[in-house]
Amino acid sequence: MKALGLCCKKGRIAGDYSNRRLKKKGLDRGGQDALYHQALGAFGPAIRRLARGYEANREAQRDLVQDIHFELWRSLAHFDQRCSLRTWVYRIAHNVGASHVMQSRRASAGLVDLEELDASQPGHDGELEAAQRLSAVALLDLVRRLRPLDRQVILLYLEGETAADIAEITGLTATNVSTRIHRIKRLLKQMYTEGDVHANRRFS
Amino acid sequence: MPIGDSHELCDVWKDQDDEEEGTVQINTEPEDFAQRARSLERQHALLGWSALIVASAISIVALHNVYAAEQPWIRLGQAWMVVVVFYIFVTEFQRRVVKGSDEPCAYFLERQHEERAKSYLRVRRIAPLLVPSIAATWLGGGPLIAAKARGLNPSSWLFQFCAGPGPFIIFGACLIFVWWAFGFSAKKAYRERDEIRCRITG
Repeated sequence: MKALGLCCKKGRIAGDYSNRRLKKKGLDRGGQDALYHQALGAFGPAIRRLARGYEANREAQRDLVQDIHFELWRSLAHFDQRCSLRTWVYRIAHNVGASHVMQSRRASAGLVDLEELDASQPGHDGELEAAQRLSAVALLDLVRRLRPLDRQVILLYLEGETAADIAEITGLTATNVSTRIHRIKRLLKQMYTEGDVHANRRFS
Repeated sequence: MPIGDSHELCDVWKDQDDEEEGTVQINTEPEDFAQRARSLERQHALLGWSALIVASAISIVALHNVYAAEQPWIRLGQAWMVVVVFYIFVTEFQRRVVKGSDEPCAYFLERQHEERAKSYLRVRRIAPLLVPSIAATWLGGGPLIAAKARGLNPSSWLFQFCAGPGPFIIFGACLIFVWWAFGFSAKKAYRERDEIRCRITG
């Protein structure tokens, strides 16, 4: 019965979940809360933007943000400082986001790889100009069409993370990350040069 | 410094229109999180107990049939059903879904796809276990006995259907469909896992 998770006596069920977890790892609840508040202060806005990249519906977006915060707080009970808090927060947030996409069959049905979106034409130096004219809406539209792993890379890239950091967060090789980023840049450039209308037509 | 020279792009992303930000309430109080964690734990325990009750109810009905049925084939089929129900209960209800893992995202996704594929294959493996039970019950004239017990008119189409091989054929067709559909889904999940694995190593 223990293996089935049915051994919870009333007292155990009602006991402080986090304290039990923390005790096991030799941490205290105060430390967990402090770490959470530190993460919230530093990455709160990034988590909100990230949730937008994973969910288009406003209500569901709010639930996703809430889920990410909850899982982040829970996970910090066993934060062992083998990586930075930034890496930890992004990993938790993106993993919750990816779970959200995978659980929603409708959302994960038409997702594509970067390769499929990537324009094969050679680019020119319109990147900066493209960036200035691209709206956040167009970016979100692009992001939400991608499969979770590509989505993670592009979201981290847009948050200004370096290739090495993205590699550490995602577990991909730095070379692979660089290739993906190169494709993202080319794709965004193409979106600009072709115009949103053409780009959107190509995506749909 | 961000990758390349795309500060502007990052700025566009970070300056997203956020007019709803002030009105959207996100709960960030650790006390509430602790309460939610306890609530989830209670829900999980409740789900486990509910599953146990359902499995027990099915088993009690099957055990009653083992005792009450006169046909040895039906007894055998129902006894096998009890075994299968408990096998499903023991193997399936000890799994927990983990959403927030601290492992690198690609490894997490790889594991998710692998677990998804395995769960499809588990269903594929479990489904044929029901064949002996259904076949034995059919051989013992189970559907016909049930039709008579319900007082169906022997000339009605439903009675004729129960008297013939129809129920067994329909079950067989469903089983073949489940076998195919879940096998297909498992293959797809493994393909996705392999793609991610390639990216991790390559």
